[in-house]
Amino acid sequence: MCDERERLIGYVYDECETQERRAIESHLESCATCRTEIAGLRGVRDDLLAWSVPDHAPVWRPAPIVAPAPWWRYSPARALATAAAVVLVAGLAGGAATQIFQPRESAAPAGVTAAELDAVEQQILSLMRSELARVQQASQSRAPEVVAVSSDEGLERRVMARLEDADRKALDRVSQLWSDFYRLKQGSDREVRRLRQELEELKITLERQGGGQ
Amino acid sequence: MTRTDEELVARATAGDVDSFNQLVTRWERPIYALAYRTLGREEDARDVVQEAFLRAYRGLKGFKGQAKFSSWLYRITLNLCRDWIRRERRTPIVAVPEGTDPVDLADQRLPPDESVEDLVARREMSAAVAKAMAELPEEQRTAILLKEYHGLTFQEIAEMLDCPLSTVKTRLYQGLSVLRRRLERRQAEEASLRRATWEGSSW
Repeated sequence: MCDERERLIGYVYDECETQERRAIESHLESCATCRTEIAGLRGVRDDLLAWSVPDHAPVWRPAPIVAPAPWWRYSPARALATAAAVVLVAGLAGGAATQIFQPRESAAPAGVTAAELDAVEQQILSLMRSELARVQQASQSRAPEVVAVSSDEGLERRVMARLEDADRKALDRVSQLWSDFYRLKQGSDREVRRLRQELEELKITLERQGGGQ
Repeated sequence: MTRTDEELVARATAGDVDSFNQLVTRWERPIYALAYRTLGREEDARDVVQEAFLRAYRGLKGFKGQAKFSSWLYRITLNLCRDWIRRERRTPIVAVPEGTDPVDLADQRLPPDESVEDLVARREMSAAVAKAMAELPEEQRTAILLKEYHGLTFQEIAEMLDCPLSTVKTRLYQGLSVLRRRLERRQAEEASLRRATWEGSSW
């Protein structure tokens, strides 16, 4: 037992078979070292209870979610169908669709210029446009008839039915790319905001010091 | 009537958004706690929780109920945390307890029967545990988090981490042993400091 202290873990957490428990209890009667070990493990478990988690406001906001990330990331089936429906019916796969994806004001992370960041963003947006156009074409070639806009739900169901797995996966990959890209930008935004705030605070402090002299 | 996770999952999979929202309400706090204790920073934990629920929502149809919904969520969260840590190339940050100054704490609403001194001690202990946990190897830390703060069984942890049950026990034992040494050392240092302060003040 003393050579296999890991066995004590099952006893400490009360997760061992009856036979094992009896064997350990019997051993503990004659082994002060293992008794100390058990007491120490229980003690550290008590200490762990002190680690608190700060209160926080709910993180998840049920729909509608404000999103610079692609809309199908938030409500995949419905949004994907709606977007594809827009492409199919209204032919908005070009510039207008781009407007949907415009990100919020953002700043470049350290080491990357704003122009480089913008270029990457444009590439991803361009890929999104071409993917939507491709899906539109593929859908039309599979079902050339015009979709009647009788109801949103009916339309979505029909468009979804037309999208093949490959199309969905392709759109999903682009969406993943966009999500990763946006998260990076968001992280850098946060840092830049913090630095700006520190700068402002420093300015105020220096002004006060200057005024006090 | 309170529905089980399985019932809510079934309804959410069929398109009932409200059922998914109920699942979120039910599990957001534990998932946040797991992310916070893994990453050590509130804003990172919030981002991970948001992403975890998005992934869960997107993956609902692929969730066949082979595991408990909560286990599935924990796994998603842990994977996201792991990605996060790798991407940031850093170890978890130790959350510094706010306002351990007794003067600041005196203004706070204290639970019944808790003095300012107790609150300070509790917060310091919380920070000490966080620091000791952050220094553990990731596998040991994760096993302890799932066991101590989420009450998973050895078997559930083994399945979640894809490792044998004996490995889970070993990680727990080793992790707890290291924590014990570190926390005991801290307590000894504090006692020594208190003694030195007392001796200094008695001059």
